[in-house]
Amino acid sequence: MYTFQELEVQEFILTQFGFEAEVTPLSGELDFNFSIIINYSIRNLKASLYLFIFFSSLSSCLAQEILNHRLDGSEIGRPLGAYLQQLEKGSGNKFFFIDQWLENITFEKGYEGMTLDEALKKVLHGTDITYTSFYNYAVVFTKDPSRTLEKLEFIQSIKSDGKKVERESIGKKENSRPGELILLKGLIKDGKTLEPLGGTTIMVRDGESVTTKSDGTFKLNLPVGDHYLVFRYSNYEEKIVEVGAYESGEIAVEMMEIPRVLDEVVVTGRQSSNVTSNVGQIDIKMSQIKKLPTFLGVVDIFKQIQILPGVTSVGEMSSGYNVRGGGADQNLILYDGVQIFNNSHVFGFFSAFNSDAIKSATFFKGGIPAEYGGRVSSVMDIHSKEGDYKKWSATGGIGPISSNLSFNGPIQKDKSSLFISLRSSYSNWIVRSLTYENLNRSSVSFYDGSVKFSHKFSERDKLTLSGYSSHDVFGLPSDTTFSWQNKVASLQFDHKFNDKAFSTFTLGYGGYSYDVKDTRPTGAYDLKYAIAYPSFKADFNYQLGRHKLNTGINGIMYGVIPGTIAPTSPISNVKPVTISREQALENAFFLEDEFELNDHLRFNGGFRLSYYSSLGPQKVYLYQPGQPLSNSTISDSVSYPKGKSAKNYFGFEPRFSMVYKVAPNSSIKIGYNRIFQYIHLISNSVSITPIDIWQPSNYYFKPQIGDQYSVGYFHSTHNGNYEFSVEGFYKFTQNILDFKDGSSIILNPNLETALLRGVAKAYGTEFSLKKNAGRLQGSLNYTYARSLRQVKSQFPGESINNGNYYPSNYDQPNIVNLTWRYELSRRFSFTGNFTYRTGRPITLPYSYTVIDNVPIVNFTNRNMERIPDYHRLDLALVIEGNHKRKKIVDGSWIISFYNVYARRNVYSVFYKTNSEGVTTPYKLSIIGTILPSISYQFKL
Amino acid sequence: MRFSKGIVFIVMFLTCCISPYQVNTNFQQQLVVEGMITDQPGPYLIKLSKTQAVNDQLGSTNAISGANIILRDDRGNLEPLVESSPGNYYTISIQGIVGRSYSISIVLNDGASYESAFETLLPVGDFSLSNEFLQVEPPNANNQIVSSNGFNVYLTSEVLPEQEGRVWWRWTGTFEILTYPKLMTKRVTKRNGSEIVIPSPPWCSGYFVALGLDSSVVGPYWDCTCCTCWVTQQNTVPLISDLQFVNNGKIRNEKIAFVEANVRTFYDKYYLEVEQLSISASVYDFWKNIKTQEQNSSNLFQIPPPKAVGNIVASSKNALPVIGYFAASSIRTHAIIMERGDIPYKLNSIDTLIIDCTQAYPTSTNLRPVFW
Repeated sequence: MYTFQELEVQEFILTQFGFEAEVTPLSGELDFNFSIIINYSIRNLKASLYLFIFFSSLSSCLAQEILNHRLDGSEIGRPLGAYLQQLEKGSGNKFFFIDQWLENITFEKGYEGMTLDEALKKVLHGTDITYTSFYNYAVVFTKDPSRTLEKLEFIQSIKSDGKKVERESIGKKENSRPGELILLKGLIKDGKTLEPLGGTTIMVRDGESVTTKSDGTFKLNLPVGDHYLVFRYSNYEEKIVEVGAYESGEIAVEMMEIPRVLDEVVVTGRQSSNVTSNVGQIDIKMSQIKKLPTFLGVVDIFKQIQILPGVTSVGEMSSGYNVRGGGADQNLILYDGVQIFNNSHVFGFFSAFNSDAIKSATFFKGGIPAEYGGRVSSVMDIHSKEGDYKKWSATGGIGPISSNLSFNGPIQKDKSSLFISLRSSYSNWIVRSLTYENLNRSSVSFYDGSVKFSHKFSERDKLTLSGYSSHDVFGLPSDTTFSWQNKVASLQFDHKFNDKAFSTFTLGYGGYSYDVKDTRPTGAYDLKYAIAYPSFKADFNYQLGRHKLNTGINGIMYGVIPGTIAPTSPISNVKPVTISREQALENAFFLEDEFELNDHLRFNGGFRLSYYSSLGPQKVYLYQPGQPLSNSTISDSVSYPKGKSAKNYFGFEPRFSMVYKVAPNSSIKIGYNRIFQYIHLISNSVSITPIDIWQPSNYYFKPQIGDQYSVGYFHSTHNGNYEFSVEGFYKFTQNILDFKDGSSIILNPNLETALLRGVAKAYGTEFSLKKNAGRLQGSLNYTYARSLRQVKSQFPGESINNGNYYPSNYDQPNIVNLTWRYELSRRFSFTGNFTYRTGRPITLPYSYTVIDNVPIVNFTNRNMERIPDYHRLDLALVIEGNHKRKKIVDGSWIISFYNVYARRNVYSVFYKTNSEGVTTPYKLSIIGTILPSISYQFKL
Repeated sequence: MRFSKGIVFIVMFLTCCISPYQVNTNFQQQLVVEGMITDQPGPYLIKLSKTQAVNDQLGSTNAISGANIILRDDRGNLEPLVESSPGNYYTISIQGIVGRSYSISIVLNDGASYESAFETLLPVGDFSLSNEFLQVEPPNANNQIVSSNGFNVYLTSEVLPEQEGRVWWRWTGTFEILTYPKLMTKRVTKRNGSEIVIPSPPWCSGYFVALGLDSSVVGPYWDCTCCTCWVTQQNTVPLISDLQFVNNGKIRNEKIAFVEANVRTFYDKYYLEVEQLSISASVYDFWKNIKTQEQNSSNLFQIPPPKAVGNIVASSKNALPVIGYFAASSIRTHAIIMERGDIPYKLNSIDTLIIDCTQAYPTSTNLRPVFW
């Protein structure tokens, strides 16, 4: 007599084996189950897969025991069927299968230590046999024709899309044994430049996926058999290789860039799937930025960052961005290894980098590797484009504000190449055409340019010289002119010792300066600020088994001219002031190990030792003990001669991250990092301004110390087409500086008296949902995060909001970003993004009075109110040129609409007093209308 | 520095929309104190009031009556003040002397008490004034009443070592206007319900409406007392020195005022009187914070507004928060006159203001100033 459960199992097996069955149900509820199984299997074989999922979810929890049995080595060399029968004995479990199915499958070496479940998944991978567990004792093997159908369908879809499949064979079929695991190594290169493509995703159809390392290599464990491998790299044609894998071996794959303008000019850095990528690391997809709606036709890499979860900004006119509740000065931006201080043109409206000149950009918001240091919140590592080693070409773009042009090609074929890019605005015409008041006498203009020369001495040695410069001028009708400029250059030498070791030496120089000039005779002046920072970095990478080591040293020398002002006319009332120069040296040693314990677990641990000296000549003022720092409490001063250090700081910065793959397509990631930041942005404003002061740490300004903890769950489905993640973080930063009410920071020789010291904390959760393939692609990100500060002092007037935590200027708890791209046809696509964020905190007045004829509004505690919420919709139509490979000019158009429903998002609230003495609050919207623009990009 | 000022222009350039904003913060009442003792002859005034809601600035001022204010110096002398009109308290006999320190204590009739720190009456240096005509736009029919052309008034000042670079300025400008009250009319409703406009000159115009059917205006029968008035203007932003511009004990060519040149301000001439005051660090900081608020209010980079508190503190538990200052200052005064003829182009005649001139401006008066 069968128990009902056995009956059910039998029934299921019968239907799977192709028989129709009739079973008398014992109860209505069970009837339901039965009919599903039976009707289902008869009507729709394909769908049985889903049923498995349904059932496994119901029952797997009960039959885990036998599947959790760990293989001890006794299985080696034994046919699977026989091994299972042995396990079955005395265990109380039952395996149901037909002998022919498993007769060719044998466990070989390599399965030891795995659970039976894992081992079965591996060994049956690529076959059409699957299994499922029933109740607490049965494991049923089924030959699943639907998988074969799926495979056929996959091949069919490849054919209908006109995709080509290459066939590769590794090893000899006759030497292979079914069930054996082989190791497939591979190297992926660009088919044209033969550069290795790090970050390529390799997906085994219906199996796991891996990502190539920065040297373009990957490793994959596969069971013997035929596999379809899909290679994907943004802007490159998808490549499908049918691999007949019979023995361990190597495969070399070349991928071709897609010959389309918008894609051609951009390449991503590392585009790994969210499951396998490093903690907190995001590779910016330049091609996607190019297809998103633009602001006045200018493609902007920093706008792309701001749609990522955990990244926000305070408004349209803000150069900076805020990462996980951190300040805008806590973001390290590297351009070919040299840091950049001002990343925008026109007060933050446009990025300082021409996106055509960027090869790749990698963004870290957590789990920052030890090779990076110096900024607490994030790292943006930008690499500029290298010229083509084969032939010359040109690309360009024309927009309403600026145009850009770049050339690249070989100097000596296959040996050396050059890339030159230039961008310039002609935005002055907009200002000049204004009839409003006398504004047509103002001027706004900018330009930037970059050049990169690369020379390959051999396959192993390469030298790269890169330069970048940007310049902005903003003139006011009142005869005041602001100008600011970045200049960076780097010389990089790459040497490959062997396949396992390579090193990079970088010599860099960077400079940032600004200049404010006023030509009114009575107040004529010239104010200057400059910072120059030569740097050196030596970086050594070594692959040692499962360990990937990265170690090196990094030094930066800061030379700052904190400010000089000089009168420039004989009747000028300006007093000449020169704040003495400052010098500091920041050195660091770093060591990092990326350790792949097994296929599931990867650690990345390391540390950075930083040592900082504030160097003489300098004069340090001493203040009376027990008194607040102010000009009136100066008691003495100490002078330090040239080269002598006035203050040293030492930082131990541990870094740790872990990626644990709980299943082939889901992972848990944990990250921790501590970072010392030795340079501070001295600013009293909400956003970065071009005339802010960057101040190296000194006797009074201790380095900021940031600790960040993060944990997240990442999941992908449908061959990586859908990705979901949720990540939480907590960040605490010590020694942040805040501005003392009413004190002046420009040309202040005792800057320490103008600033208050405090702490900052931020915490939040980020949700992200992405669709990576198909005609409709896009992402939806939601972040809940808080960013709070505390400035507490024993002295009255030196605390902010009575020493309680208060929201930072960029505390925006709820942020939603939705972006999408819909391909209407191969040439037309429709893209858009929608942004919503909580209004940022501001300080509002609560009462009004007039004293001495001066209207005065009294303000609440700092940041206790909020401006209205921000939201905006942008749309764009992208029209690409035809897709013929050979044509003279390849062009594409982007028609953008910024702020489609013309929302007047409030940027700030301010007060105006009218002639009757009434002070009225006003809200200011930077952009209160829909802004259409059209731009053209071309390639010659 | 003028950096932030420039930003205002960017705002105007880039924006389409500046619109009133409804502030919904909870109103909190505060005590407002303003007053000073100077080296000039007394009596000296201390004013007490309460703050108003931001949305209700035109409401009547909340003068505080019935307070006891005592002024004392560092030698132990003290003098109670006398309330002469609501909220205005005057000294009787005390005379400010350079070098001495003064403080006030206030007790309101609810028992709440407040006091100021001791403020030393510092000496002040002398100064001179100059002006320069600034023509921003060519004169035309549209810019005769509101113009961006006018006189910049500059000041060159000596700063004594005791002042430590801190100087406070206040100015009062006076100009004459001519109005035509005899042309005033009013609307009346006739018995049949229709409205008509009839002449209605005030008595002060010297004219009146003749009795009779034609309602014609007759006169003048006496001198018009509301046709010629003098309007005073004062600085509405705090004027204090910028320590960066104090160079070897001198402040040179500090722009102190802009006098708009139009048919009213230069109907005759413009008289500008400037006071230069010494100021203590705490009162200087008070004004500096207010100045910063003012400058930052339209700054694009949104500097958080500093809190302006002043040098008065609450000394009892039931006290309100307090804002304001008590200063001890030396004062120097100079005046400068800008004539109609100094304007480098021909100004039209004054526009026809059909109003009683004392009503034309909130600060207009028909009392001829002594210096006119």
